[in-house]
Amino acid sequence: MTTELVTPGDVIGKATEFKAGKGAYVNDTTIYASLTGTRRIVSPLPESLDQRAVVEVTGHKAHGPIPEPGSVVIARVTKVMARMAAVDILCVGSKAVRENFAGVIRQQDVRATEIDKVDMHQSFRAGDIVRAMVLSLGDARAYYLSTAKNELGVVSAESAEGETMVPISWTEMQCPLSGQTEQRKVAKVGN
Amino acid sequence: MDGRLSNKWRVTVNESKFVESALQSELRVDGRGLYDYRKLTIKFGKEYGSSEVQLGQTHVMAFVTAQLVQPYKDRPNEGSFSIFTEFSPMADPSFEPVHPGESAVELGRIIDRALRESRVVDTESLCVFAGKLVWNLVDAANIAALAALLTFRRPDCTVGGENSQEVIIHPPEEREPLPLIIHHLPIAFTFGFFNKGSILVMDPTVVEEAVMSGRMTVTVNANGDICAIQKPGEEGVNQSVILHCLRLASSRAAATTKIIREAVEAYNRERSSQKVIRHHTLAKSEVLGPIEVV
Amino acid sequence: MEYVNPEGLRLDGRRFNEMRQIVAEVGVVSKADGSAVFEMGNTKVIAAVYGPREIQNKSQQKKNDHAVVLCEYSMAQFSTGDRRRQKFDRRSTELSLVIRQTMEACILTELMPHSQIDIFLQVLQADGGTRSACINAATLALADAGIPMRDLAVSCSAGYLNSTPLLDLNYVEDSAGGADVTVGILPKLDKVTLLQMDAKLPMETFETVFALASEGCKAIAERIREVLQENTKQLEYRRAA
Repeated sequence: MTTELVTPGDVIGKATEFKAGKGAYVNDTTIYASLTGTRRIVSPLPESLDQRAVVEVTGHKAHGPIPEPGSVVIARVTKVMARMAAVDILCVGSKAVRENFAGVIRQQDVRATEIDKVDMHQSFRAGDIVRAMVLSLGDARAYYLSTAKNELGVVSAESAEGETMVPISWTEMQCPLSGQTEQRKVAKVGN
Repeated sequence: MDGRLSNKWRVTVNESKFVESALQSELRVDGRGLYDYRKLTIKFGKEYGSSEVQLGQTHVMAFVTAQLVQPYKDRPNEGSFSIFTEFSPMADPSFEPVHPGESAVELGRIIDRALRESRVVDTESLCVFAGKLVWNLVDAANIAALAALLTFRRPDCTVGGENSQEVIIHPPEEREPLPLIIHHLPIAFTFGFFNKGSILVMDPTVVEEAVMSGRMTVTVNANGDICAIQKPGEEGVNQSVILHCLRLASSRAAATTKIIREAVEAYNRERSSQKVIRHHTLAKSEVLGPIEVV
Repeated sequence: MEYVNPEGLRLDGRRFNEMRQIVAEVGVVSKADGSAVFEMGNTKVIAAVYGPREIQNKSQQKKNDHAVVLCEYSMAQFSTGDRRRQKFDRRSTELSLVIRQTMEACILTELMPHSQIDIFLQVLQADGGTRSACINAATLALADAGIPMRDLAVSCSAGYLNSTPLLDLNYVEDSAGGADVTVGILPKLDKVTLLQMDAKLPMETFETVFALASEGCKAIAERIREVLQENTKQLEYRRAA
C-alpha cells in the first residue's frame, strides 16, 4: 500500500487506470486529489464489473457522519402530530452525529400495510427512541424517514410511570412496574 | 443580502439549457454573434452634465454635480471624485430601495476604479443612477458616466473679494461655465464565460448573465491602454482566453469612443445654436411685445 | 519619488521579482473546523472556516444540490495606522463578494448539498496585498477543515512603478498611483479565477506584470503545499504516538 502525502489539486492517477474514490475527483482524463491526506489504492472487488482499482485520499479531519438515503439512523421523537412525527437524528449507523439533523416520519411511511389507517399517536410518543431508515434528503427543513420494516420502529420507550417498557408484540409495549400496555410501532429486535 | 428572494426572477432550467446548447453551436439567443454589441444610444438632458444611455434594453442615467470643498491634506492640488450608484426599484423588483446590495456596490467600485484616472483639477462628485431592467449595467453605466462628464460644465470661479481669499462662483448667466479636463475615455466591456471557460461572449444579456459561470469586465481606452480589469472569482479560465478578451476590447474601444464623441459634439452644437436663438429672441422682444418661450 | 533605485533595489531592499517573507500556520482557532494564519511581510490575515454544516438561512439557498459558501472580510480597527471608523464599508463588501466567488469556484460544492460553508477573514495587519493574503489564508483554512477542493487557490499582486514590474507590492508601493494587478490562480489546473486591475497600463506591460504575478502565485502554492504536508505529518505522529 503506497502512502504518499497529497494536497488538493495534486495529480494522483489517470482515469483510464483508476476510479476516483473519496477525496478525489476526475477532470477530463486525470484524477486529482481534493483533500489533504494520504493517497491510497484500494483493489477492486472480484465480482464488480469495473476492474479498475480505486484511488482515494484519506484526510485527517474526521467529519461527523451525515445521513444519506438508505442509511439506518437512530432518532429521538420530539413531536407527534396528526400526520407526521418530528424526530431528532442522533446516530447514523453506529456513529453519533456532530450536529442537529431534523427528520420527519410521515403517516404513510410508518408501516408497510394499511398505511392510510395509521394513527400517529398509537405509533410514537414524544421521547421515544426509534430506528428508522432515511428515504431522501427531504425538504428544506428535515430528512424524510421511514419505519416501514420489521426491524424499524420504536426501540426504547418510557411508560407514563417513567419506567423503560418491554416490547410484547409489534404494536404493544408493557411497563414492568404497572403492567399497563401502550401502543407503539415496535421494532423487531432479534437475531 | 437578498432577503426577498420571492421577488427575484430566476432563470428556468429550460431556458438555461437552451442558452447553453445554442452557444455550443455559436448562436446567441437574441441572434447576435458571439462578439457583437447591442445598439448604443446616448441622450442628454436639459442640464449640463446629465446623460441617459441605452444599451439594448438597459437604461442608465448619470448626473454630475460639483461642490467646492476643502481638498485632502495630502493632495492639495487635486479635487476629489466620488461615485454613488443606486439601483432604483423601478428597474427590477429584486432591488431594495435605499440600501445598496452587493452588486450595486461592486458596480460603483468598478466604475470608480475605471474613471479615477481621468484626473480633474477641481472638486466634483458624480452620481450614477441605474434605470430600467438589469441587463449588463456595467458597460451602460460606464458610458453614461463618461457622457455626463464630457458634457458637464462647472461654473467659473475667480479668487477675489477683500483679501483675495474669497472664491466667487459666477452664475452661468454671467460667465460661460467651463468644461472638465478629461484626459482620456475609458470604456468598459463585459464578457461572459460558459462551459468551463471554453465559450466566450461579449455584452451578455440578463438571461445569459444568469446562466454564465464566470464574467470579466475590461476597461480600455482608444490609446491601447488597459485602465481596469475586474474578474471577481468564479469559473477559472486559461490565460490565453483573458488575453483574447483584452484584444477584443481594445479593438472595440476606438469605435465606441467615436460614438460617444459624436453624440457629445452633436449635443454641444445643438446647445450653442439654441443659445444663439435665445439671445436673438430676447433682443427682438424689446421691440415687439410678449414673446413666445422657445 | 523613487521606488526602485538604480541598482534595482526597492524601498525595503527587495529586487523586482522578490516576494515578501511568508509565514503560514494551520489550526490556530481550535473551535473552528479549519483555520489558518497567513503573513506576507507585514500583512497578517487570520482565516476561520466553519462547515460544512446545516444551512442557517434557508432563503439563501439558490442551487438545491450545491453547498452555499458565505464569506466575510473585515479589517480589524487596529490593522492600519490610524484607527478605522467603520468595520464594514463598501470596500469590505466588494472584497467579501470577490473572495467568496474565488473560493466557490475552487470548492467542490456539488458534494455537499443542503449545507453551508462559512469563511471568516480578519485582517490583523494591513500592509498591501490584503486580498491576496486573505485568499491564501482561506485556502489553507479550507484544506485544514478537510473540505474537498479542486485545487489550492492562491493569489499574489504585482505592480508597475518607475518603468519596472514589481512583485508583491506593499502599502507604500500600492498607494504610489501606479498599476496594481491582483491575480488568483488554480496552479495545478492552470486556470485564472481572480483578476483585478486598477490604474492604466498599456497592453504589453500588462502582459509582463500579469506573468510576474502568476509566477508569484506558483511560488506561494509551493509554500502552501509544504505547510499542509508538514501539518499532516505532525498530526500522524501525534496519532501514532
